[in-house]
Amino acid sequence: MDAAGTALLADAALPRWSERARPAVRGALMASAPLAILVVAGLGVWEWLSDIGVIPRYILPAPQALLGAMVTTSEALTRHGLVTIQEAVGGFLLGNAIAIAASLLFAASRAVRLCFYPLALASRAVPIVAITPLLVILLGRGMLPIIVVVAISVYFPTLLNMLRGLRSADVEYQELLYSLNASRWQRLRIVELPACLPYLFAALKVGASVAFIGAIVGEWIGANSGLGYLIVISANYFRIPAMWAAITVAATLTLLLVAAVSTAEKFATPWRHEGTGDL
Amino acid sequence: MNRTLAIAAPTLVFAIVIALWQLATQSGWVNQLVLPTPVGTIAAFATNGPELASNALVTSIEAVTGMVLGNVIGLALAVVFVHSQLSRRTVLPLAMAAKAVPIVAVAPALIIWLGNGMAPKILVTIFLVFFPMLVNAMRGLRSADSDMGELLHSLSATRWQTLWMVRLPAAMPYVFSALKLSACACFVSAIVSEWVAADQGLGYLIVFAGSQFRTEEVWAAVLVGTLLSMVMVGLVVGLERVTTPWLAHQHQAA
Amino acid sequence: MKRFLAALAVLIPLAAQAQTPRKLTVVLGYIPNVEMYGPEYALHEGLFKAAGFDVTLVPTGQGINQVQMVAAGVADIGIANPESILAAAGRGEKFKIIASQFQTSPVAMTCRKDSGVTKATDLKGKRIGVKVAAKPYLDLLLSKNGLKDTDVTTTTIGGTDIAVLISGRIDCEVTTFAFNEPRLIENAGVPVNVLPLGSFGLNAQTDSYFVKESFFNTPGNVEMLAKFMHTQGEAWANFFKDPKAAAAYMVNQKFVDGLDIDQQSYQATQQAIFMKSKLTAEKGILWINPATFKETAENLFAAHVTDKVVDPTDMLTTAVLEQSGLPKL
Repeated sequence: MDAAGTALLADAALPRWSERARPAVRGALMASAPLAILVVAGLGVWEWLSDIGVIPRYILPAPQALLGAMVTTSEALTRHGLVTIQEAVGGFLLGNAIAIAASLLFAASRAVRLCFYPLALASRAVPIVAITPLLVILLGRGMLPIIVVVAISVYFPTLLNMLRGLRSADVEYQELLYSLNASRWQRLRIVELPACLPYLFAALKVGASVAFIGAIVGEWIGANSGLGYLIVISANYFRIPAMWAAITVAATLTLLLVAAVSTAEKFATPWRHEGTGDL
Repeated sequence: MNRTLAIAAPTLVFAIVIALWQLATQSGWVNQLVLPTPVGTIAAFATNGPELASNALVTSIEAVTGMVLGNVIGLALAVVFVHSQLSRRTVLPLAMAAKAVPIVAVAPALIIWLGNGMAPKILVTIFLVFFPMLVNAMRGLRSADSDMGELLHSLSATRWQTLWMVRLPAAMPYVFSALKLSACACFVSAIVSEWVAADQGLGYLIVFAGSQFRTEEVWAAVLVGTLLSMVMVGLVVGLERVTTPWLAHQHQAA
Repeated sequence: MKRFLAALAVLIPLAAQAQTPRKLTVVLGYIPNVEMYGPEYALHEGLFKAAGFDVTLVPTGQGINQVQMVAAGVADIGIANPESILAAAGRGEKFKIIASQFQTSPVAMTCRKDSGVTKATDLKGKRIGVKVAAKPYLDLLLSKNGLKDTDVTTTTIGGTDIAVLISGRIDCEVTTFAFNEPRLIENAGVPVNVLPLGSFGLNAQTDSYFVKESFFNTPGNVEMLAKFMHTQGEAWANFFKDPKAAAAYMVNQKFVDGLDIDQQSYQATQQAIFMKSKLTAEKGILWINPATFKETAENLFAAHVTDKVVDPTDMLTTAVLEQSGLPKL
């Protein structure tokens, strides 16, 4: 499993660090112009297709109706959105914490890895729709089972990438430290963990892109609050604009989480971004 | 010796998990309307073998088709994005936004558009699979740029030659890492979309048998889905060994 | 001394009972809309508290089943469709059904008016949207009316999917709630005919209150349940006084997002009809009708949901109802 996994998502539309000088502002504006044009044109075509009835309103509302629904349901969107944020972010943190701890254990002991790696793989492969009801019954209703569902959907890429990252640490440098009598902990801290960071962040981005989807599927099946629940209940009462408003909020939250991970990566591994133009 | 251990150790762990499962269900700690005993689940394979097999086949077709198409689309987009700054600035953010949409919530609308068959399930799977490939492949294709790329540039290699001789080989480890993730995810995706509405497939079986509390069949279907995912991961690992033997030293963990 | 201790042993729990309210978890038959007026009203207007209960109401979700929750001991009392309770009983679980909200099943098939379907025999050659769990009941409905499953074209639809019917891709949809989907479909501009399954030999006492048999047999629990059902009698009596006001109460209290006052008022007036019968006028509301349960049990077997006809006789009990003093409406 190579790592470097996922790319810096938000980067594509953002100015590079090396371009931060003032002329770059105009450059960035120019760079984002094509996207802006495309988005505006897309919204226009969507509105037009809705108006002439090619896109039925009972399936997908027109942009204006969607925007209207976001305003009128803003209170419910905020309330349920906050629940989903807590579940998605909580599960994201829990899943990744477990994955990082497990990767360190696996890297430290071959026996542990042999015993539990297949089990870790299997737990990701179990269909989520089947285990959610079980989790709800065992853990009680509320946020906890949904947080576990999210943790299960995000931990695997991190585990795989961390294992690869730990092995990528420079062997020669390791040996040097070894000859300098560095402790196991020092080697981990000085060499292995920094070497892991790019791999880790790549996986975190993949995880960030699925955390909200995991929360929504979980809420859909076994909860009475959150955006997933709002989507189902809106569909139940055929409030299609409200349903799409919730879907739009969920998509926006996903993009924000991915952008947050990208930003964290820039602070944690500044050396990777200076002038490399790495995506 | 090593090989024996590599098989024996996880087998032992799985045996312990199954024993705990049997204990939890048989003792009544977990009610059998919620989770059947492993013994009962395995018995369901005997009594419902053909039903499980035919539904597993449907899910496999959806999952594999979605996986192949999703990865081809992801790889193709990555090649385009690497070569065209304009597309990177316009289409890439849209692809990111598309991935952010909770596609499962859109599944009922997809059924209205694409009908009741496999098409909407395949589309959902494509959606959930293309993104890891896109980002991994982009990183991979660019990983060779600095050194080899310049050399070839000085040798006046065409873009096509650079892609074929430098970028794609360099991207292989990244491509396979994405394939491994999607091998695991494609069955889960297909089953989730069948869960929304289907009249065949493992997701259908989970809903239908579940509505009648035939929990042994539900969990037999769950086990089949899990095993198929793991077989898929195994196939990708095997394919990686055959096609990129020079990466052999990296195989030990995954 | 012995006698004194024995008396103490009896008295202490009684005293404790009087002081600390009895905790109960109730899993609802649906989300807190007007269909669940009884428990929600009793909770929020203090009827439970006055009767010495500390009740937690759990709304049901898409994939979580009330029967599983009661069986697993996560909930004490469940409100669920008798089809589910009997199917689980067929798998060996022991339950007691203590009361039933609906006398006539509100489960219906909804057809577009332009399909011309007004009775089951009209279904020949039609396109029918079927929810996954409803397929056995459709097959049964067809066979009861002399049709084969090859006489119709079926499409599987999702649990919340009325857009397929509105779009005209199907003529009929099964199952729907007689007062919910039809209203929403008509509001979207498509007139419909509603065919309640109860009128086609598929009646069931939807939203039956049930507990585990072991819970029921625990000494004192019948009296406790009677006190609980008494609150339900009070709450539902209030509902029958003015169903539309009851609907407005549920919408205004905002127990759940997205309720529509027009739909809820319509549902309340219809629901009032489906909850009453000769039996409820004579014995009291929420009464159990063994004949209806027998019909449901036979249908479950005919639809291949259960391996044998599950005899509901031992599961049904009016012991709680007799002590609950329910209004005769």
